[in-house]
Amino acid sequence: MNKIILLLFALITGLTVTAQSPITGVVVDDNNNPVPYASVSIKNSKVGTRADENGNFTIAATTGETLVISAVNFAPQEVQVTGASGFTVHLKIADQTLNEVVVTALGIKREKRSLGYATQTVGSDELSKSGTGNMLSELNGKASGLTVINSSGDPGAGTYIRLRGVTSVTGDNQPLIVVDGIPLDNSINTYEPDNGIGFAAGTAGGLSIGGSVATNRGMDINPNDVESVTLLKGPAATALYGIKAASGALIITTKKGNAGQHALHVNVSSSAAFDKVSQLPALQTTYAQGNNGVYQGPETGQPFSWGAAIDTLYRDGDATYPWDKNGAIVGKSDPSAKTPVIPYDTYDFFVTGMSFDNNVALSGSNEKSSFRMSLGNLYQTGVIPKSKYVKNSFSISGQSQLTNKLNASGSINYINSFNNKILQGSQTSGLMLGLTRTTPTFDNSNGLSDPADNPASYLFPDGNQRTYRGIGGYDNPYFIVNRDPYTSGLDRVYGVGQVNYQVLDWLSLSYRLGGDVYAQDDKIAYDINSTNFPAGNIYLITYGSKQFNSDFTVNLNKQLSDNLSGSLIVGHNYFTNISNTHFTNGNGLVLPNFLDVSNATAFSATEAKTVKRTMAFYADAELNYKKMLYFSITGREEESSTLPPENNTFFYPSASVGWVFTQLPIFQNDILSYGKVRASFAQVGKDAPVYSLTTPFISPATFSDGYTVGITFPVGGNAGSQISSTTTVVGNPNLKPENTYSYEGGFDLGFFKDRISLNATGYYSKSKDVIIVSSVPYSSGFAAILVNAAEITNKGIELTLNTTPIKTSYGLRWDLNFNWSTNKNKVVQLAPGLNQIRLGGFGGGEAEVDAIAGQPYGVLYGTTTPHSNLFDLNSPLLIDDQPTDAAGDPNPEYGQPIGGGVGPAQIIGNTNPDWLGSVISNLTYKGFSFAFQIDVREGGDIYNGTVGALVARGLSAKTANRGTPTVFQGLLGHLNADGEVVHYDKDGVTELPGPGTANTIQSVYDENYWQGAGNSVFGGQDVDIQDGSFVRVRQMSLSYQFPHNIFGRNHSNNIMLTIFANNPFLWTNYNGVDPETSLGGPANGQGLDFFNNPGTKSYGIRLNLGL
Amino acid sequence: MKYGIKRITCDLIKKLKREHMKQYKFLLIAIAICLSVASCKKDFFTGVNINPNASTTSTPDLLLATVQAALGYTQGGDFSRYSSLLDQQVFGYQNQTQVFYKYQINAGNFDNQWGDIYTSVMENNYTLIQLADEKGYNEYSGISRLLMAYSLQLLVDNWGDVPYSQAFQANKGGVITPSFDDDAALYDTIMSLINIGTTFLNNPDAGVLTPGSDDVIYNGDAGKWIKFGHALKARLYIHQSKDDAAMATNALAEANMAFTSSADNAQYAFGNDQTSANPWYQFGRDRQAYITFSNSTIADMLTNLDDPRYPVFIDPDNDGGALSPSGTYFGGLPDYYGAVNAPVELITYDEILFLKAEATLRLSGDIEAAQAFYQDEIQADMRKLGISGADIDTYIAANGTLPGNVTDAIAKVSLQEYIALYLNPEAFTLWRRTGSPNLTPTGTGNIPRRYIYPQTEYSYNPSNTPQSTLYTPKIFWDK
Repeated sequence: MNKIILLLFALITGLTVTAQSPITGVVVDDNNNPVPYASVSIKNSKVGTRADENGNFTIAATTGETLVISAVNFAPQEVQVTGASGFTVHLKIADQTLNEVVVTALGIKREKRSLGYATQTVGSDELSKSGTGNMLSELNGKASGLTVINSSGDPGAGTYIRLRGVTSVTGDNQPLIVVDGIPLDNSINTYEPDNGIGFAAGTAGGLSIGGSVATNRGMDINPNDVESVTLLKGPAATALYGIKAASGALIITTKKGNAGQHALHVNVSSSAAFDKVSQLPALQTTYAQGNNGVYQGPETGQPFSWGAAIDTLYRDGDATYPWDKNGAIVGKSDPSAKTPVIPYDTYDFFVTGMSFDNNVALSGSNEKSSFRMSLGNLYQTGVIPKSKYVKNSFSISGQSQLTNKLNASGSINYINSFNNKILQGSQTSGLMLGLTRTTPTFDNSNGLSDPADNPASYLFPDGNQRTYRGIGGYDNPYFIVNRDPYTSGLDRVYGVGQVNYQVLDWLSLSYRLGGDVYAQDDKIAYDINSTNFPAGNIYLITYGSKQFNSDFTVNLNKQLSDNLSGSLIVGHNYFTNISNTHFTNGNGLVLPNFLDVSNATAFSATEAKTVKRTMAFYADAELNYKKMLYFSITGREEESSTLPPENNTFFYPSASVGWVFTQLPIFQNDILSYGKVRASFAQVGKDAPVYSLTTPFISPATFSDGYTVGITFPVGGNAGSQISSTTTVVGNPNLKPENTYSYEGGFDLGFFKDRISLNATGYYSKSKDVIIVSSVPYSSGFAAILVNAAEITNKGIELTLNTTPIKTSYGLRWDLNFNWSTNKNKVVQLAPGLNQIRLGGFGGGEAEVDAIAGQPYGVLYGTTTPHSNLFDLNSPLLIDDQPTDAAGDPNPEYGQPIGGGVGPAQIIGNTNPDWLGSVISNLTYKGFSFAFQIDVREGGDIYNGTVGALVARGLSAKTANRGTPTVFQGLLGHLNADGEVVHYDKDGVTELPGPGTANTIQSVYDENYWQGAGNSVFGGQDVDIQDGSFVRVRQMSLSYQFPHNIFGRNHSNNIMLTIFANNPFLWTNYNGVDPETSLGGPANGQGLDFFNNPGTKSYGIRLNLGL
Repeated sequence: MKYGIKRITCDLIKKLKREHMKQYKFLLIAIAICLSVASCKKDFFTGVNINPNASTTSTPDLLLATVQAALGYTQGGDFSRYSSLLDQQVFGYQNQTQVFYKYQINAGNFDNQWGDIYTSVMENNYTLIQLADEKGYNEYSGISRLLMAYSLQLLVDNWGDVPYSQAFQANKGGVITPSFDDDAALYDTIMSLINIGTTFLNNPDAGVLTPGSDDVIYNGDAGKWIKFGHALKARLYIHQSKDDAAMATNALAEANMAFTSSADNAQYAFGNDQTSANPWYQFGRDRQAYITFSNSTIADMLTNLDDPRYPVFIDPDNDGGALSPSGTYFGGLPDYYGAVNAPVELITYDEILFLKAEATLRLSGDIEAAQAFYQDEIQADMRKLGISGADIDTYIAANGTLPGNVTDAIAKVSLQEYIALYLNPEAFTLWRRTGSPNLTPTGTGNIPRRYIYPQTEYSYNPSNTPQSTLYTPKIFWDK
């Protein structure tokens, strides 16, 4: 195989090998240990070979030629051929800290030592261990200052990324993704149909509480093509990128063929993994469907599980009973009682997900040119039946030194994917909602062995849905996966072409043009008899996006004197993004199970096109004194189409300094091998969203009250247009650019020849004039207005400690690395008269994630259970001291905390973690290596609405204690008509201000308590705020690297077999769905769990084969 | 600085062009491309920032259709549901409506209806008024003012002081946190809106654009709109008539100029599509069994009165859509109020007759005259609902006589008006004004007498929004 390919390649490239006299040698390190597989080539020729495992090589060369010997981890060395044979080449271990090169903004390669700001690079070996197929989620825990949150464990689920803190209130806070120098679209294109269960219509768009697990387009990148990801964490690092990178940048470098190696390589990697659900809320199986302890079956439509104890119930064995093949449920003493009722396990619904990731890459090169082609296929099925993600990717890249001065390179990538998503969250067709609310006496699968593929599990012969609430309520989960499909298809091409021209040895010009074009075709269908759209409904949405990026740079590089060198880059950037969305809705289906839009009876269609252009001139100057002191300044002048003409051009600078103090003799010693201090200042501007200057009329008019689907014109043959509805944002013709000012300082230290290295960075940033969608009172006529008003500060510390505790000459090596970061942000102000803005969640008095002036960004806000001090949630609860209600009937709440969430709405939690940390360990010995990664999140509250809603319905395991007597802890009292805390005097009539004495009233954990103060859905939301801290084993892997010569001496190979586990262990006190899932998906409003689709853990095997 | 870099670059390129034409030819092409694209035309940037998918203009017919649909949807939606839960015409069976029914109500509950009426209804209507006035479309100027008057009345009767004089300025660079106007003064504002609106309607400018089918309520009939103005005024006066004979006099005078038959009824009829459906139909469809009907207080009253309207109001076999056998999936409300295209009533002829009866009783205590109006109302309401003449006669024979005492007579009139105002927010106002029918609280605490200001107003307009509970401050006419 290898030979045939080599032959083919030789034919294509005309590669020939001239025979000359053979010269032999051996490559060794400083300790005279052989260096295996070093590359040996003759300088300025196409001839090359590879040393064997003992370092021996043979090459045909003539006297006077120069051999270049290089090997991984060693500095390359040149040796002149003297005619003598059998000589020894001593390679020195490369001083990596000294010479490590990193890719910075605009693809500029800089020595890491020269940088005045923090960067961190994650290599391909760290990214490809698990085979999840999602490069962004694989970054989790790999660097400090990086937050990664997956929407769920579903195939194709999106990933939210944040570097450091937030700089925008309602805009995007995710870093710019740059692949080989071109910005990649990371949009989230998702649609949330107006659903039956959304609560408040809210303030401004983009606040998803239902719909599907959102996907961000950054996940299209094939991780197998990625060589490295460099994180440019702060504005100083990204100032040259300008507005698009105000939240940092991920600089992705793809794998390339390496010129000068004269070889053809084939790399095959295959992995197979099995997925299981990671964590689910615990359900009770003791009590049946019903109310007040009385069983009420599915035919009654009863939504709750407050029925009789299951062990008192029997099946009557009537096989004709439509709701259960074992018969209807009757009491023990009923004459028809046959067999005791056995509760069903709702979670039997989940299946084992599977994931197969296969990649083939072919790369080759000659002296001047190289290429790489790669073909990938990812096939994933999820833990939810029918969920699926298939991605095919193809990429080709090449580069050639066309003349001594001219170098051209380019790459093109094609991605095709298909995703079958599962509806989630707060809607009656949300999977976890319908599934977990199922009463334990109802079998969603109808006793079938393959319920997902058998309509008898979810449909009656008359076409009505079979659900535990009769024929309605929520969709049967098997109905959801079959009849409410949300499919998303994608075709995407992105690529880059670049030419570099070396005019003079100190002057070069380069031009780079990149494009990124895709079409995403989504279809969301609800079949007839879905609870969301009983008449059936289909949405067809096509998202088209085109963006182009052009950079022209003039690069000057000059040794100014013996000790001083400098470089200057002057550049021009042009960027345009055109998006075009077509939306078609077909309502009222005729035939069931025919989910084609032609089957609809009413239609509406809209389109949305946006065009954005920016242009910039920029410059970057660097001075370097004795490779010790580095000073750099940048400036960028930007012009954006989204701002008003008089404010659309703006300039922002940055400056940084780095001092490698260990270059000075007085700091040189055996312990500290490397030391640098650095500092930087940067300013980054940011423009406005497109079309934000005006408030146009919208046609067709549409409005809703959050409880019902609402009205969309035409109505009764009339067309309608509107200037406002409850979601309309008013444009602002006076917008100006936002600015973020950032200060950063830090140091990098290497000890014992870099056996220990420590990087520490502290930063402070202030974002001013931040454009926000500022909620206004509806009485202004609108929902919100765009203003330049907000101010946010972020400060934080990032630490990275890399150690090598064990490194022996016989091949045992242990690397142990730590990442730790903390970020404290503060919303200093929002807008005049505006102190609060909703970022996500329900709103309307239900749990929401907010930005509130004076608070960290992303606090949880909601109504509360009345405490004895209403605004101190740590004060004792108020226990109702009213024995009767106003009508004189007994008050069921007497002696219990007060339900209904009638305490004041206030801040109830903070979603920001205190700190994030990770430990990455890698132990290698000979061919074996054992690696693991543990991630820790300390703090960060989550609203656990999932468990709250399950408690209210008597399904949560928490409610299994019903009937247990208790005395609720708290102080006696109640709220008077003015909402103030009062309590009864001894006479039981006179109301005295404030709370009374400690409660001693005997009460019970009963239905009334759990439906009232015991849950957050009908009670105060503070009840279900939980600490989202966790310790999670992110990855474990055991690999074996086969010997490099198993196919014979002359056929070096690289074969590695890995078994791995992702997320195998989780320790957390959080008891909802996995604390790492997120209802809002890749959006600003994090920290909400409301029937999120579950997270997963997976186990798999991976084979890498390199020939 | 703005053009500095560009100019320097341009000069540099020109210089390079002259001196090194050949060597740099291919690079110059690249430079030329990127610079010509970005050349000194500002237009290239600002010109693309115009939304191609939205219009900067609208026409009165498009806005009027929107305003009327939004008003019908908002009144028949949240206004109707919440008032009917409080005045016990419906029963809060589960979820949010269940706790609402028990008066476990917070400010956030009112965000949607407040938001819908201020934005979809009134802001669009405000825009319509401006457009119509500017273009001289007098009939639109008149109708839009009457609709504004009606919307404002809904707000004042449920919240008291509300923003109006400083509202609707956010898209004009004006106030975004409007102050709250005094409720009694707002009644004057409403009167004034009606007066100006009527003046416009009395002078429909022939030859310019006039409403037709876009006016779903009256199909462009200016005369009926003028009657509507009087009906609304009569309503405002009767609200204030408790201890004020002058108000009763005014109410009677206005009522006499208002509707003369059920054909004059102001109501908004919805479309036949799922996306243009009646809000009660939508609620039964989207929120099955949140609200049920057969276990409501009004159901008991109808049963006790042996009232033939029971099956028009309530279908016990399909209650709230919850327990429906297959086939009849939607609704829960029978067709007159719950069909997909069922109308939402704003003001009806039967209400006017009641109003006349009440005004007569308060003014003169003339039981006989009042009883005539009273019986006419029962007739009008029942005929409207399709009750047979024989059933009507039987019912009037049993219930058509007013007691001799004015207080009792008002209570009896109010009970029938309460039934006639089924699902209409005006029924809650009626109960608050007359205390009839006699309702027992369904939760802890007394029956609420007003709505709390919405949470969004407390959050985003905190300095202006007054404190409020379900009982205080009382609406100015609530004595």
